[in-house]
Amino acid sequence: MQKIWKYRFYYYLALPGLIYFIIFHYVPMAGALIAFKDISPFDGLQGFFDAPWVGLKHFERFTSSVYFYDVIENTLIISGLKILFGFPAPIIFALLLNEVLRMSLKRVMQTISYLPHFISWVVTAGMITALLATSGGLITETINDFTGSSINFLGNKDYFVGILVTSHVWKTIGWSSIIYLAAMSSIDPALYESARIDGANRLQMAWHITLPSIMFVIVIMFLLEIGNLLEAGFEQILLLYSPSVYKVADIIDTFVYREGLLALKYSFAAAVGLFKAVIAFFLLYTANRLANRLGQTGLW
Amino acid sequence: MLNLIKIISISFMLAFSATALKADGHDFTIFNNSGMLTFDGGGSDPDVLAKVTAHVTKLSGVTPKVIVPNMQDFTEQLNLLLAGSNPPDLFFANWDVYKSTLMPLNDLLAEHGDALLRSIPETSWKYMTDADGNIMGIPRTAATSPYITWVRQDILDQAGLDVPKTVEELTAYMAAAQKINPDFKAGTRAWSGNKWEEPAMGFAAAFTGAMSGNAAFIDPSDGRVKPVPLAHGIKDYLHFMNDWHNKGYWYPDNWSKFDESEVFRTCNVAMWSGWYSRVTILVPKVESNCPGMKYVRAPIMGPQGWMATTRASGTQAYVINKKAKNPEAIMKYLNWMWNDQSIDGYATGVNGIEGEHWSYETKGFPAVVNTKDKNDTKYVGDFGLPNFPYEGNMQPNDSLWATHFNYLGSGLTKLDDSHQPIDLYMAWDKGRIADETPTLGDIHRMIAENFTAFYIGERSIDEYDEFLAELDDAGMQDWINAMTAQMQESWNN
Repeated sequence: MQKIWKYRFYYYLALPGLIYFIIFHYVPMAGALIAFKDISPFDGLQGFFDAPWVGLKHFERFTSSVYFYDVIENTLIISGLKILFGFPAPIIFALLLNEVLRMSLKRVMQTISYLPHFISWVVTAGMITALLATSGGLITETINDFTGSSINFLGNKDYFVGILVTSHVWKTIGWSSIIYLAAMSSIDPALYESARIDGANRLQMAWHITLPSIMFVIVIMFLLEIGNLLEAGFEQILLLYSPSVYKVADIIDTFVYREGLLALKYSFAAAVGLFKAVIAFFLLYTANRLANRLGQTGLW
Repeated sequence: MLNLIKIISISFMLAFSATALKADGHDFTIFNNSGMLTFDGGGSDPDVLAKVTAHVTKLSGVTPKVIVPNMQDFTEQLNLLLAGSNPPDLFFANWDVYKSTLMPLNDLLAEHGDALLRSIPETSWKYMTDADGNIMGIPRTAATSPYITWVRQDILDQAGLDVPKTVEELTAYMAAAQKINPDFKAGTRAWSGNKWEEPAMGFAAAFTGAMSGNAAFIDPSDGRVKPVPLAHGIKDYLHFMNDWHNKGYWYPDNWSKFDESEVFRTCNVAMWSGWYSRVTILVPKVESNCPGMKYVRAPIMGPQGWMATTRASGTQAYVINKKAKNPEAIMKYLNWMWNDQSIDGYATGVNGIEGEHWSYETKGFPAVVNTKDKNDTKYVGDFGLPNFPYEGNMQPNDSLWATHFNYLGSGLTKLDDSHQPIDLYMAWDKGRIADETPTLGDIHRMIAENFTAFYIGERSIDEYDEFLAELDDAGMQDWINAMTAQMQESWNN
């Protein structure tokens, strides 16, 4: 207690953040109860209390859907591919930027790479559709001019996931690199000096100094990515998919959107949300334990 | 100092008037998901909107506040708004789906709705009443034939053909069109959400003779209501769609992302089969860039009847939230909007302030009005609530809109060349069907996905019987039972 009093100003600083998390992240957790009830979204708070308990009905409905395994598989594949290509991309980009000596060039490259982050998915999807439309799409028409064949990229299962991953990497590479650049800026320049005197070239310095020095950030970011493994990019997919590509593109969130939100079955949507949260928690917990065992910094 | 006093006085007056209006129950919110703002989703200029709001309040005696739809899916936004702490008071919806959140309107209509009761056709009111006699909404539309096939007169002239009357002639027309220009293609209503029946509305009806508000038919062998994948002739329909795909007649984007506005801009849409307003609204905006382009309506007959299907006015309605604090004000507003004595309310809602944004060329029913470009007036019609056929009473003296409004007054209600569905005078309770068919979402996805695969040849039509078995496994019989039960209840009533 004495210590709390002694460091009270630090606690005061933490207080707004604490209140924010309690109000907006912990209190709403009580809403997870609707996953076990049959509520009408229009009955307000009273409906929350009055609605009948239905046990695991909504969870059973989700797991008994013909498409349950499909949507889980699609979610994991799309998310996995986004991690596979999207996670190392900003690290490589940050390493490359770190090697740029002319500051003005570095700033221009950073600004250009950050821009896509500020473009909403609605606009991005419009751009993708405009580029890939079979009638008048820049990319499609160019391919058509050279090959004589027109490809319906957005309606083709073979291309669709690639479009998702590519656009995801394009949109996130710059913004995600900021944290790695920040970590690099805290590396002691003496390390590079010593390495240079010892005859190390730039590649060797990046490999033996830069990368190990930012490894703790990489591990933490990776753990957070694992925690989001079931978030495959709802907005992006919803705006681009169609029945032609449901087989590879329908993920848990788009399934819930159709079945839960559009059909007004909010309890069902809450049940699937809870299902996702529980899986994500176990994934995060396991990855964190693994990181600790391998001697890396974990989240806790 | 004087300015400060002025500001404080004006603030007090505004605050007082706002309080007075609120105290008298004059204010309410409208979520304008009626379709009025579909192509102008950004809403009006805030200053202009404030002026129009004051004008609307002065004329109607009430103060509506409009929530402009800004999400890609209006239904999703409506659902989120309704579940929130400030749900809209007035919105557009199928009343049977939202019944639990709505207010019956019998008393309000009797007290404040005399003019609108006279303005809206009696047949449309039929679908507004629930089993207990409660009027749950104000009809948005009347029986129409909105899914129409259009071909181009300029292509017909070049090819030396008459307007096609059969599916075969339509195929010949497409072949001729592509000979003239290989980029000429056929567009149809793109997949929208999971509404798999929409693109099927036209061609499937011609091949199966079976279409309804639930894309269903009555099987003569057992008298049960069944979904269209079970209809006689469905394989012929799929072969036709696949044949057109293989010949390159369809835009491939029809089955993925089809941006209708952009495609019409290319001047290459040789045939459009779908929602009528794509031709009546979009085409006038682009035809100056497409010399000679002229669309004509083509009433097509298939092996099993007309391609077009009459669309019942159904349960689409303007509805009032049961939580609305000032329902009388809402009804007074609607009575002003669709008045049988004058179109002042409707023309103001759609165009803005008379004398500034629009003027009468001639008064009456219909009235001809001079309108300005919405880009110039900066008012996009936030207060306008379209209501068919009432909206046909306002004929803009504007070449961009003349086609559309003329069509509303004539072509849209031309039903003699369209298929009459089994449920023309019946309102489905789709919410109940969904409750009684727990796997309905799976079934809808299965049909959308597989029909697309059949169209583009990704799945062989030889496997159609296997597909039907898959539908059965997914719970199609529950769907049939639910639809049949409702149809029988409707007959018993």
